[in-house]
Amino acid sequence: MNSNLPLLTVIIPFFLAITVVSFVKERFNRAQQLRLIMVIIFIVAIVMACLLGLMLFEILKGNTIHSAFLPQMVTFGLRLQVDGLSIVIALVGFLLWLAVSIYSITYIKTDLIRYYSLLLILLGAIQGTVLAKDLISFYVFIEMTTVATYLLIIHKRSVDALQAGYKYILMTLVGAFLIFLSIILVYVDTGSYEVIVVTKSGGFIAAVLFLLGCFVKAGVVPLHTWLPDAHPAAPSPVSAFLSGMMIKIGAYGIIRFIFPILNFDLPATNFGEILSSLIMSIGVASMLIGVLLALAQTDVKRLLAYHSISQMGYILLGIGLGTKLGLAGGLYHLVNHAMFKGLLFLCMGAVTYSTGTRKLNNLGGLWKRMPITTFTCIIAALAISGIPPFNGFASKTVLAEAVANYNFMLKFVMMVTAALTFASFLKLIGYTFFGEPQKQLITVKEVPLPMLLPMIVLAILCVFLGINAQFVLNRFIVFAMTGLVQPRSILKIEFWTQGTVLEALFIITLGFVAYIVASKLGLIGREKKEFEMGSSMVKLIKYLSVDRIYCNIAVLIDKLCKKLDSIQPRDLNIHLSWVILTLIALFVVLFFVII
Amino acid sequence: MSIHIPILIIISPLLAAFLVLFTRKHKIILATVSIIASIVFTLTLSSQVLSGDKIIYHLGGWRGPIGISLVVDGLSFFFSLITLGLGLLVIIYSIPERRYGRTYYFLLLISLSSMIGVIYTADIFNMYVFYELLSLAVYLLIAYPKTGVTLRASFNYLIMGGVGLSFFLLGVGFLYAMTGTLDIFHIAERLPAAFNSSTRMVLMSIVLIVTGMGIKIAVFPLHGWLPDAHSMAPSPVSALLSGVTVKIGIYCLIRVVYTVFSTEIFLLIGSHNILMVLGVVSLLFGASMALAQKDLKRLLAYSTINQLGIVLIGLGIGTELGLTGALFHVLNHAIMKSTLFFCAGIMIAETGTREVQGLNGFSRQQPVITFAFVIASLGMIGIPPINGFASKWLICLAAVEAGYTFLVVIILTASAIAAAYYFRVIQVLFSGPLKQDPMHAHEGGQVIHGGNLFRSWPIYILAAACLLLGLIPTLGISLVKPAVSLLLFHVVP
Amino acid sequence: MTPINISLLVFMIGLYGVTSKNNLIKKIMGLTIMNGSIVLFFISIGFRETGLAPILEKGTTSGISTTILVDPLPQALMLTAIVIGISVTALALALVVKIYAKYKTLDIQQLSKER
Repeated sequence: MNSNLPLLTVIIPFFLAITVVSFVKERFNRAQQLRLIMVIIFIVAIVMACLLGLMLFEILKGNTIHSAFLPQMVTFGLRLQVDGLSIVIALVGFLLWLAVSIYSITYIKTDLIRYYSLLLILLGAIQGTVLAKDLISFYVFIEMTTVATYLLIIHKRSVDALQAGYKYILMTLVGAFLIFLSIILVYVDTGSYEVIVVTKSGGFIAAVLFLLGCFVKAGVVPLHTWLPDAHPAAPSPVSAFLSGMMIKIGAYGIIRFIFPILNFDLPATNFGEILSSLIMSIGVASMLIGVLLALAQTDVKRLLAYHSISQMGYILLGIGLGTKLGLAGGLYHLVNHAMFKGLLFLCMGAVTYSTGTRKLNNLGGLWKRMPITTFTCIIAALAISGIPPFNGFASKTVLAEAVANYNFMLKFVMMVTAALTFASFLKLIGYTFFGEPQKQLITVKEVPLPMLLPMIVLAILCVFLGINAQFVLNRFIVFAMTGLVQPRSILKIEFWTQGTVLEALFIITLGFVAYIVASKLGLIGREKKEFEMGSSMVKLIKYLSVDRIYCNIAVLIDKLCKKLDSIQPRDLNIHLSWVILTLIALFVVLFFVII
Repeated sequence: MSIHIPILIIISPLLAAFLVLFTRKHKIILATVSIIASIVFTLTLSSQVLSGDKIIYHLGGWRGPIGISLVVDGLSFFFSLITLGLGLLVIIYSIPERRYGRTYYFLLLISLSSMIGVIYTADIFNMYVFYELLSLAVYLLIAYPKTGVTLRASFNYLIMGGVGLSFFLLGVGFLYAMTGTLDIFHIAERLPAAFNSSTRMVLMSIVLIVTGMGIKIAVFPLHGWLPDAHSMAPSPVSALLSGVTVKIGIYCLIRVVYTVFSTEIFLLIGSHNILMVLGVVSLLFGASMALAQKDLKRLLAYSTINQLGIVLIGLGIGTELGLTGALFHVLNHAIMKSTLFFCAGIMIAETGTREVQGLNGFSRQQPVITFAFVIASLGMIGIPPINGFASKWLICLAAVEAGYTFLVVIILTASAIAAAYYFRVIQVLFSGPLKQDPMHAHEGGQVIHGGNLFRSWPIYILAAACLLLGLIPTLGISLVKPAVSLLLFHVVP
Repeated sequence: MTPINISLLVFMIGLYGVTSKNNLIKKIMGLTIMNGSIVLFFISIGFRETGLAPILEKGTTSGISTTILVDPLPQALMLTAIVIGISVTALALALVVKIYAKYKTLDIQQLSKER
């Protein structure tokens, strides 16, 4: 059916962003600004909830909503479409956005106007990305999210934030340009921007390019290097949104546009297989490398950032399987990851807010001072490690089920990753909340209510999504998959069997063992110093973080350009002789080559 | 009266130019009014032109090949609109600068008037005359601050521009020798016959004209004058140079290549490949040179070479889509680049330095100007929903459709480099110490004083245009469409 | 050696002068030579062997066929071109005077070393 609801969903946040800029004046004091901003958040919450609810209602009836703005402009019109997948991701995004914006009310101290207008733009762009019907609308919105995120990352305007932002914007723009190229190839192949179809040889390149672009967006190994820099540099709520939603856009792009061609194969090509093994191998690599690098980190937000890479690996692994179960697991994990990773970043933001430091070796013994933060953080940590009964457990069980049908080794890899994740969270929680409190942390207080509220809500969601796994899976995830997997059916997964519980116990045990062994060996610790002694490990880690390669490429390009600049003559005579040479060259070309 | 409109559009700034010399107080009003009058005259023609008519005005009533005629068709209307619109904004932007005396406005008006002359005239020799007039005014405008660097930049431009226009005139001579007429449309009629009898002469003239105009457009090996001239000139003049004057070269190239040599001959001798090669080379060269620059305006100047490369690629592809993209990119580049130069002017005036590194903390002082700068530079990189994206998209699409997929890869590589240098500037703009008290900074310089109003409004207008054309690209494309169909099919839709 | 070829040769000489001379004044002279060569070129296009001057008096119009007249158009054009050439030269010389006052040199190599 046609309706203007999706259009409104996309436009209203932009409109409100303009409202923020024009009505909230710089000369107001902070309280006045906050009051206005809270009103606007309230409006957004009500309006968006209504719009999304109406659309959800319509979709539950089995319809698909279409909406178009200037559809007569073939190239540049905006076409939106809402189906199960879009509405689920849009809801998750909106929920996380709301949590983040309420959290930011006290967390963000400076430049409120800029921050909130950008946050609103980001909301609109995210909604646009997931509601986009065709590739070009998707591309337009993905670029908007990129720029808005860049400006949010550099919100603090410190040197490291600016550098991280620079790296972020360059890498993601290169990724976006790959998507650009692939969309153009698709258009020339098929004559429309609707879907990526593998028909000729062009389709193959287009699909791979699109996939690469999405990988950059998703921040998976080996294209992840912007992610560990950008997360710590950004304000914590922004990191929460970045990790919870922004990198999911890459996964969403893969689900929306690449997943349909994974199983749809031309005769005599195993193209779908190649693609799916590409996605899966990237997924596995990110899982392992992400978690290994996370173990070695001493900056709390950097640690979480590496875990984002690792968890994106899970999602991609599920998608890459190309089966119904795999997609369900991937999607479920996507939703869950948004919840618990958002929560983790908010918790660490609370810690940073109260203590003013992000370094593990300055933290310790906070549980007495910040009980609620500690509690929510433990829930999130258990969830991310896949411990029952939290949501991470549920989605990892689905994924394990899906993977077990494919290859048993992968299941083992998943369990090892989960154990290492558990180990690294033992380290994080242990060093942050337990142990001896540092002297300077005696006066620390629990964070104020606007920050606690989103954390508590997210923690409750983590529990809810875990306990009611069967319900959530069949109501939401299968519902989201209807457009992609035919026919619609109910998935039956036994969540609470002996096997799953034993696996969880195994993970816990392995995690403890890994933690103890590693800390005995001095591989993981509070400070960088301890860890630098294990030289082979250091080498391995340096080798694993391919950051240096990209940096070297960038430096090389920069040097080449500088070189070009220095050999560029300033002498007029040389330029004039170039003119003559050009003239002669053109003559020669036209007279002898062409005629 | 109404049949004399084409000449009135040229006369009005020309007359005002000389009147400006005799008045002390009213120079700005006079200049502004004359340009507005020209714009109004142009707009009265719009319905006629956009519906596809061609307005021909015979100067002094002399018809045909002997007399000079002015032609307003889709292409010239499009270019004259860009010229006059930006010209008006440049004049407004110049108002607060007290140093600019009467001669400044005189030269500005002369250059604008002669640009319109170049655009409207159908006589190729007359085109040369107007172009020389334009160049003379521009040389003087560059040298206007009379500092050492500007004098040298102006002199270099004079020598290279003089050589370029000599090539052009020699090419015109060959055309005249073959066809015996100077009217563009008559040459176009007679050229196919001449092409069969004296191929070499035709080639000679096309090479000379392309090289001559190449110097004026500053494609890569012929660009020597541009970085100095564009970066050293006063900021409004830089905006005029980069936004408009260079486009006049593009206009002449399009006229000569697509109208005089008609597309058939052009494709026959395969010289669209030449345009494409020149475009690719200057695209990559401009991008990589801009990355190495430390001086803000020099960076912008090299970025002009980069963007004109894209335009040339679009022209070289030569399909309907390619031409649409190229012309649309001309419009977009004019808007974006003048925004950037206007912003750069304010930045240099406020911070007192031309170095990129010296700009830190500017976003605190002038958030709106910074916003405009960010918008325009995003457009330059080609990020939706800013206008640069739309035209770049069209050109890339045209390239793939015509089978030149590698061109898209090159354009995107250059865009990535463009992102690298523009974001380096943006990063510096946003850097700077965090202010503790949000009220504190207002004592500093937040208050926009009267003079700045004239400086900031052109920027706001241009930035709004960037966004508008990016959100609704059809506005621009519908302006371009008559020109494209005129060039390709010699008919009007 | 037709006049056209000669004019092209002169054009080359002018181009050589502009390109390779280091002295600013000599560069301007090169430009002037190029301009002159173009004038020569146009005039020789219009030239016809044993052609008459294209001046028609009252009453004689009917008798003379236009084919034996020299083409008058290039000559008219070249008047304009000469004027333009002179103004460009004048402007260039004025710039040179200013440059010399600033840098006390006319050598392009030395000037390009100045920052």
